[in-house]
Amino acid sequence: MSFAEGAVPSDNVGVAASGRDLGRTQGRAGRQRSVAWRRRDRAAGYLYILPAVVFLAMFIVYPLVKDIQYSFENWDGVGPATYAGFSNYAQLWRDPVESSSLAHIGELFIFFALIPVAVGLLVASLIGRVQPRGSVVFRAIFFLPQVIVTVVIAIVWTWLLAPSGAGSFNGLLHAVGLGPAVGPSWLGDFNTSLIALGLIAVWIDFGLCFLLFLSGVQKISPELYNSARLDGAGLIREFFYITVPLLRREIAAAIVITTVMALQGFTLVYTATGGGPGTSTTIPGILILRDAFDLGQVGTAAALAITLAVLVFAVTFGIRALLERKAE
Amino acid sequence: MLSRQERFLTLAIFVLIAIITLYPLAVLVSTSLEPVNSTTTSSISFSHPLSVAAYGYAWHTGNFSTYMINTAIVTVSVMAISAVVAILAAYGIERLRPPGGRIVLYISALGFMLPVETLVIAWYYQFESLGWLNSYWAMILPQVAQSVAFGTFWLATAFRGLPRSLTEAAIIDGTSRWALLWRVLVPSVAPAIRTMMALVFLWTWNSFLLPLVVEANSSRYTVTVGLSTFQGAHGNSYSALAAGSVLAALPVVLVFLYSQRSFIAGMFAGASVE
Repeated sequence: MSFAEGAVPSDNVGVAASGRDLGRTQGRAGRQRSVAWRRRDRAAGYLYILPAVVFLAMFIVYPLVKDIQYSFENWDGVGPATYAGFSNYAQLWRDPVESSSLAHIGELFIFFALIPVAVGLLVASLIGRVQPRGSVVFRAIFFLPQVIVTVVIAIVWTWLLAPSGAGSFNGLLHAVGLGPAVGPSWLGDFNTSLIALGLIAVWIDFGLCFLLFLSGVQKISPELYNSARLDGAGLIREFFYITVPLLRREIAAAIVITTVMALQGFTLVYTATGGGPGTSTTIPGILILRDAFDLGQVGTAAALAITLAVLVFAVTFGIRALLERKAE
Repeated sequence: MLSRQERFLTLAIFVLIAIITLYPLAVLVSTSLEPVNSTTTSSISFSHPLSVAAYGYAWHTGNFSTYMINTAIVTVSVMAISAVVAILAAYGIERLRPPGGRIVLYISALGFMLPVETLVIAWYYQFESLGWLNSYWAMILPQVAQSVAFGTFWLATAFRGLPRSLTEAAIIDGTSRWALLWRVLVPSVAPAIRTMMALVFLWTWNSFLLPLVVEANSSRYTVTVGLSTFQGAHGNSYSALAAGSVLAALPVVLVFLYSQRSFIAGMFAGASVE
């Protein structure tokens, strides 16, 4: 499952070591004692970070390097590898299936990130400062989609979006007389499959965004709204000039969290549609598996894998930079 | 001044969102309570005869007992190992400050942003050459690395926020670094550690792509892989699949309900870390 959903890298780098604290306590002798202490601390520090370094080196850095190596080779995973230059990367752009997988991720991004954020923002601002009774219960409910195993979510939604069946939406409509016994297969139709996946994504992410913005909105002083209203500002003005700017941090957090989920939607897509029908919902993760293990084209798979990583970094840092500049 | 209309509107919106959120889950539970040989999903009307036979079927015939144990083994191992390693590393970087320590921090930050899709093929061939494919270690080690990447960064921030006076007092008392870490500093950052554990638990229990790729032996499947292969192995029993799904999802939901604050704090981390 995606790992970068929660925390966001902090910009708080370069904090100078204030190693002189101890020196303050006992004058000159204390300073001499603390220097020796510092040196021993630093040496011990290496020991303490060693296990982490080992894990990171062996299972993050090394595999990444190998991936990059594979991406420049033609290899079937079994026999010898030959040097391939940039041909694997060129292949990504030329092959319509490979390049469309990246486009699909872009489209899913809108459903995983932009829609939940936008709708969550709107609804949260509508509600404003009211805290209904039992809000702890509501909070738990709204958060549930984030903690339900993704495979389970995919399975259930497959049923909900099925052409028929008592548990499906089509079935529900039919039961109240609003639809045919067998309706369209939302996930099985070329035209609607990606949007159907997007709908699931909105269901997953909306609660999180909503809660995030609710907590932010409640911190806004009602004075601001009151004085704006006295100045004659309408609801729309209030929204764009007060609510949105003051919720900058929450919006940034929501977008980063949901973006990373969008770029890693493998489990959802694999379980719900398998990339189909045809290749209408194929995303990079699915192609990586297919290329490497079904087609024996590890080089192509690796090139796609690296491209995906670069994309994730670019989008994540790009969004944060964008939102931070708006903060100026 | 909040009018009664505003209160009502708010409550209505909350209830509507709650219904939309819970409806799929209600369908899931309802389907799981169908008899085992049912051939359709079930609506929320619960008008069919209720039966828990599907759970027994999923547990025994469907091997979910095995899958749950496997997932627990992997998850607990990842949580335990990564917690210790991350605490040690975060302490080392933030309090002992060896030169070059901050590089580890940057590598951690970048490392846990790497999607599993990117690393999984490399992991596969890496374990193949080590002979570790089809073992618990193949599922545990990469996730430890990712959790360490996250945890080191997360806890370093937490340690950074602790006052120097804690360290000074301990040093004057002659406490060893080890004791200082585990008896003084760790309790002070307990909420951050709880959040890290909650997130690692969620992510590891939920992991799908890694176990899918590195584990071919169904006796070691995790619940996620088990669920995805269930339909092929056990025909069209929707209720059994639903029951298996409920079983798979239940532990995380229960832990979440018990420790909501840790989970939600973790998810909101982006807002507060900045």
